[in-house]
Amino acid sequence: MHKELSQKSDYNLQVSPISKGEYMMAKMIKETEHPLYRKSNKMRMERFGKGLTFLSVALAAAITAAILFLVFSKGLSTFIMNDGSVKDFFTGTTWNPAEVNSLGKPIIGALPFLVGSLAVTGISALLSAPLAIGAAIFMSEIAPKTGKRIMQPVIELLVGIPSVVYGFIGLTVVVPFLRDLFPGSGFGIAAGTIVLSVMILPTVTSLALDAIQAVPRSLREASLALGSTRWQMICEVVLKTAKPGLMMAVIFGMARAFGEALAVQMVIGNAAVIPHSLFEPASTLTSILTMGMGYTVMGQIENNALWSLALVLLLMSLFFTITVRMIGKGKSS
Amino acid sequence: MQSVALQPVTMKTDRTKLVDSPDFQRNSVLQTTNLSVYYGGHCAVDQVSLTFPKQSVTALIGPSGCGKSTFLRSINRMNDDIDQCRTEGEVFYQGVDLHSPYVNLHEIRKQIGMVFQRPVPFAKSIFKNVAAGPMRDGVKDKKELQRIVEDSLKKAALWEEVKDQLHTSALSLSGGQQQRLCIARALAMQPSVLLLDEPASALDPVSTAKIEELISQLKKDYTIVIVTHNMQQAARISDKVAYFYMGRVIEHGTTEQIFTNPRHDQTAHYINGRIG
Repeated sequence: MHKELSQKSDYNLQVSPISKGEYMMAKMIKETEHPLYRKSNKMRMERFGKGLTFLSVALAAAITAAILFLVFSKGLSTFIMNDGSVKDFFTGTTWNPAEVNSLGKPIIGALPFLVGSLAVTGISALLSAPLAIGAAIFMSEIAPKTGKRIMQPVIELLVGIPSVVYGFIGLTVVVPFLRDLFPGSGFGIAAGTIVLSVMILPTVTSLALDAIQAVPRSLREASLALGSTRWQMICEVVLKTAKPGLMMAVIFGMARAFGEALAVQMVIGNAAVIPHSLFEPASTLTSILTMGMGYTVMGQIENNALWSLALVLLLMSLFFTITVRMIGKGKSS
Repeated sequence: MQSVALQPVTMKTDRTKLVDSPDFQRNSVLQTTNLSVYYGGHCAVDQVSLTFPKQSVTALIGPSGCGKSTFLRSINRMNDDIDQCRTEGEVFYQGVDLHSPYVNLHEIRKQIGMVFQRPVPFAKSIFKNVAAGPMRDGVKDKKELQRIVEDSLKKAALWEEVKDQLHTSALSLSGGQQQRLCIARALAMQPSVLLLDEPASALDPVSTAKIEELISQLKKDYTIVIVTHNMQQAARISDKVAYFYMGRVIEHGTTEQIFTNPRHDQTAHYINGRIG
């Protein structure tokens, strides 16, 4: 078999020989003379395009790296330069970076803000997730036409409303409303939660809608062909198949809620204490940051402590992103 | 059985006569009269009248886009969920018009099972795939479920291959196994009719052979309607054949007659591979 093959290839070589004269001719043609050697404009464009896209990526990566470096170096200097205690930072309940405690360490208890941020994020996710998934089911399964014509523009509009407008509405509507119904000033976690859950609702809804619409038609039909009602089909096939996507939608919403500063700051009351009820003034990492940054001087402990809060925010959003990626990976495998 | 089945049913009077005849009542579970399906303004199925005798395999053949799949899907009203799809005419199942608005759509689909071109197992265990229908309908007893699953898998000729891995994911099965799993899932609903929409076209020859053997086995208990592009397959497994072209039934009859002595030139051309 092998022999046969080699014989055949020998034969092939013999039928198309190139004479010595022809070979010399080919050598003599200068590189520029033959059109096959010519570089075209398109090739130059191609190289240019490659360089341009690479530059954009490099710039984005460099900016990210620079921000990360700045936040890390500033945020960690509270603990390294100013001798702050990491344990105090995560467990202490008093925030007064300008002063030192009996051990001579700055008073940087960020627990109230951590609790505030987590509470606001968690509760608003709990509030908005069922609403958003319900709306997405309605838009995709129950009334696709109404969904496309009315709901989609409404949701896009909601996404586009600036957060200061949400905060302003919260301040003039939600806070007085809560003040009338419950004891206290109306400012607090409850007000922040309500404003935030409305804010993240459109984001979660449109992501959940994508997840639900990605469930293949064949799976739905397989369920229907077994005699399922539409509701049974939605519960057993659509929601189960879309579960990773729905979780990603909720986590994206949480990431947005966790990082939101302005709207929350306007309604939460900004008291640096651990709240004992939902209707007492509290504060979040973001609200303390925006409140404090105008009154501190670069390089001082008060300023560095704020950077530490920023570092926590950054790490949390990193955590959310990684979680989303992990779920995405699990989904595809 | 065949004397009735062979009658072309084209007019209402014919149908009344047929339904009344004792032969029909004994032999036919499923019949369509002047069934038309429109997508918007386009007529995909044009006045098709066919009778499917009990415990037999009827193959629907014809070139792509001739309306045979649409026709099949309108039997268990799967076209209801498609936008702009309108159906006229009647589908009689045990003497009941399935397209009547008063009929329980879900009950129809439990009695008339369907298997699609691509295997679509749910992302669950093999056991839960087969038990999906009964569990949804409230069968809770574990032994009863076990019995249904074993029974359905045996009928679908899959039991021996999967009995030791019932609780692994159905997605780990091969394409051919998945398709037999889908058949088992349909059988678990205890249907009397099975609609198969090109069940073997996405499978390799070995799996196809298994599915074909399975269909010949299932014929004993079920009335089977199968859409196929494969002439040899139709010849091998079916008792009756209907040839569709441009939404119409050009010819229908026993498999032997259609393949050896077709009445229409067009049918002969298609069977010999000159159309489609």
